[in-house]
Amino acid sequence: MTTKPRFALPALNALLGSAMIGTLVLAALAGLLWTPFDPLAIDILGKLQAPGAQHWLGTDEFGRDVMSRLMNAAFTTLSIAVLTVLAATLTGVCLGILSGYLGGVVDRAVMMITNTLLAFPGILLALGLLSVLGNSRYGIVLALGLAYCPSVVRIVRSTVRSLRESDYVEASRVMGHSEGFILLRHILPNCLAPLIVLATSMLGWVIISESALSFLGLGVPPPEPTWGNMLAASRDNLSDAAWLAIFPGLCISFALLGVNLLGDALRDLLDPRMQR
Amino acid sequence: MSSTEDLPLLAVEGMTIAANGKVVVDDIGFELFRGETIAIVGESGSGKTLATRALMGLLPTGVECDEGRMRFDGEEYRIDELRALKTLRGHRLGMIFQEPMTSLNPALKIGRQLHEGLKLHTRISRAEREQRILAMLERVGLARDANLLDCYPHEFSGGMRQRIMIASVMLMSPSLVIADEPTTALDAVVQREVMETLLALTREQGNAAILISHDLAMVAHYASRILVMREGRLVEQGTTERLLAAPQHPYTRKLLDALPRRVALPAPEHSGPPVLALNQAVIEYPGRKRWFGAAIAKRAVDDFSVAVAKGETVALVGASGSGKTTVGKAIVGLVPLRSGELCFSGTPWSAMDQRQRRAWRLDCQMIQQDPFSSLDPRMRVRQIIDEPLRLVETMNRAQRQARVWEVVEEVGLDPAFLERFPHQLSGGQRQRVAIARAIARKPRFIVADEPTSALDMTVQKQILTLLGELQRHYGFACLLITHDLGVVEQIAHRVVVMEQGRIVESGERDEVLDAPRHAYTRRLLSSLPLLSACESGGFQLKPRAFIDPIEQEG
Repeated sequence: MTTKPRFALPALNALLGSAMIGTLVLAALAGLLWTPFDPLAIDILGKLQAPGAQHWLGTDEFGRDVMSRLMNAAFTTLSIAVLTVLAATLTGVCLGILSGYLGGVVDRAVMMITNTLLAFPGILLALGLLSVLGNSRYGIVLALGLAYCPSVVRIVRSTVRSLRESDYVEASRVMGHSEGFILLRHILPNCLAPLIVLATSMLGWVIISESALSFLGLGVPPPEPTWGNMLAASRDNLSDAAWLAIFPGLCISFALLGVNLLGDALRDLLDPRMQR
Repeated sequence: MSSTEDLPLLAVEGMTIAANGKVVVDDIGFELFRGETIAIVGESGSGKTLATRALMGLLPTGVECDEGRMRFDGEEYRIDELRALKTLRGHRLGMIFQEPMTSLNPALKIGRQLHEGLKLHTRISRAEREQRILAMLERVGLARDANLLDCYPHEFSGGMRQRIMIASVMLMSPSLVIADEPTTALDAVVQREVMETLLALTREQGNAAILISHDLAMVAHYASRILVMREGRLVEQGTTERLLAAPQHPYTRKLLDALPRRVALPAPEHSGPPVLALNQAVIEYPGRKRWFGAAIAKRAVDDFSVAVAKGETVALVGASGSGKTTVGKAIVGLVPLRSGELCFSGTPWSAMDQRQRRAWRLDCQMIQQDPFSSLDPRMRVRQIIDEPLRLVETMNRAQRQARVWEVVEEVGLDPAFLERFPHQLSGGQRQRVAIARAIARKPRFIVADEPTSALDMTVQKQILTLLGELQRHYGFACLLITHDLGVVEQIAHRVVVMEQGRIVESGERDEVLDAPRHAYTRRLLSSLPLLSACESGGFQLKPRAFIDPIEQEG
């Protein structure tokens, strides 16, 4: 019933998305080993230089090379984002499946906790947790993971609840299969599509949240760069050194676009209904 | 007006429709006179729906009408221009869709939805509109009650919703009503009532109607002329009597052959205890919990007993909501029994140990109603059929694979289908996969829950024939749940009729169908047209003649 034949859009998305993510991962790994300048070396005389021949992407208010800092930050930022999403998704899926499949008391307990967490602004929750945990990298992962977990729980729970009543699950039960088998074989694979969409967009939110935490002084502590805290620090010189905001911003957008393209492509490629 | 009386109300010429460059309706033309009811019959995918949608200007995007003109009520139109023409749709051309569950907006009260059309096409006052609406609701068989207008669609049953839909269309008194499978989603009895309401209304208003259906028998009951469509072409058209008595095109003959006819069945083995017996079963659903006091359970099935012997098919017939599906679910263990006893091969469930119970569970299989939702969309046919075999401990991987190949061929599918996903199969093919899955473990008992109600007539016939063949081959006992007595005629040995959770009549198939004792059975039967072969090799439509004790008494 579609208007026009779709030109292998998933394949194009997959190609573009994986190319973008690949570039970022390479840059992040390279940034660990080598950067054009020392990302932490302060050069007060060369501060706030516009992008030019020597410093390709300019320097910041301490004269540190922006490009080196971005490369160095890539690993920190991406690893925090990926770990956070993994933590949120894994706990969310477990809780969501338990709550959706078992129902009853378990469901009510899980949903009560989830709804309480949801009622809190996520960033406030993370703030509170971080002030208890101390602002280390893993503290951030833990705090943001917890803050983002409820949305995963809710989505998985509602998907599981509708799948639980589906005819093919019933058929499997009549065949005599155990509940565990049904969960792994029928329910989990069919939860995949909404999960991938959620996880990939969550990756973006986490990068932004991390920068917000940095902005409040609870993110990765300076001088170690992340895209978020670089963006946050650029605010003071926004009017005369716009590149300080533009380049980290571009990096974040680039990462998000890549991840979302790849996510969409994955969702389509993993869904047999999209194949012909 | 008198000059247009003798001209056809609608004349369609050379209509050709293409979807994505592929011709789906090929050069179709027909005429329709005032007050006439005609039918377009064909399988799904024959283009019958698209052809009539084009007349309404309701083709989905991507589907284009390349050619074709229509003359309606004395005016000429080009069919590809109809999409932009709002004066025709609703006001003079009405359409009733197949699925009453989705054709009404669930978020709006029905009153508002009924007002909508009148507001758009007439200039009468609100009070007057309300009067007309209430009169129409009464006319379609609902109460003349203003409170109804404040109800939402979900508060009505499927049949009532379709009546509301009919009311909303007929309020406009359109000169032509197109009804696209208007009763396919409904029970046999409700189907007949709704059809009759619809046609009585069109007759009263002196309008014409086009019925679209895959069910030739149903349509033959109501239409004066029938058009047969196949793969986008009009293969045959003629008056109903002529078409039934002397079908010319082989496809029409195939459609006629697919009509339910009684088939003599080999007698089942009645030696030994029945494979399955259910004695005085009571099944209750927990009621909604009130704020105070305990929940009141709803009794779905009461005092129900049935026994099925080896190689026997017992049909469980009833309207939706009569509890027939619940009985099936209880037998396969999806729903607990409140009281009563389930016996397998004479051994009561309560007397079995854990191992025996497990063995019996594995020996009971089920075929579900809707093959579109009963197969996991993420699994290949091979994996789907293999799924029940995974629990057979004595089979290794290679043996399982061999068995999958074997059953796939037994249900008449090409082994090439094994690597496909369900969405790549047609409805009939999917149901074959579901049947293959059910018989893979060679069960002794199968519950078939409306196995053909989602399928076309021709496919239905094939599936029922297949089930019969498999039963003769494997000798399983079968409980067939259905609301369609046509299915019963073809495949069942015995019939149990249920109404509101209780058995109202049971007996041998021929006895029950020829001399029904209970009023409900009789109502069911009268909605099933009887076709009898006539000398020309065709058929004749006859009303069912059975002795009606009530009429005799009165």
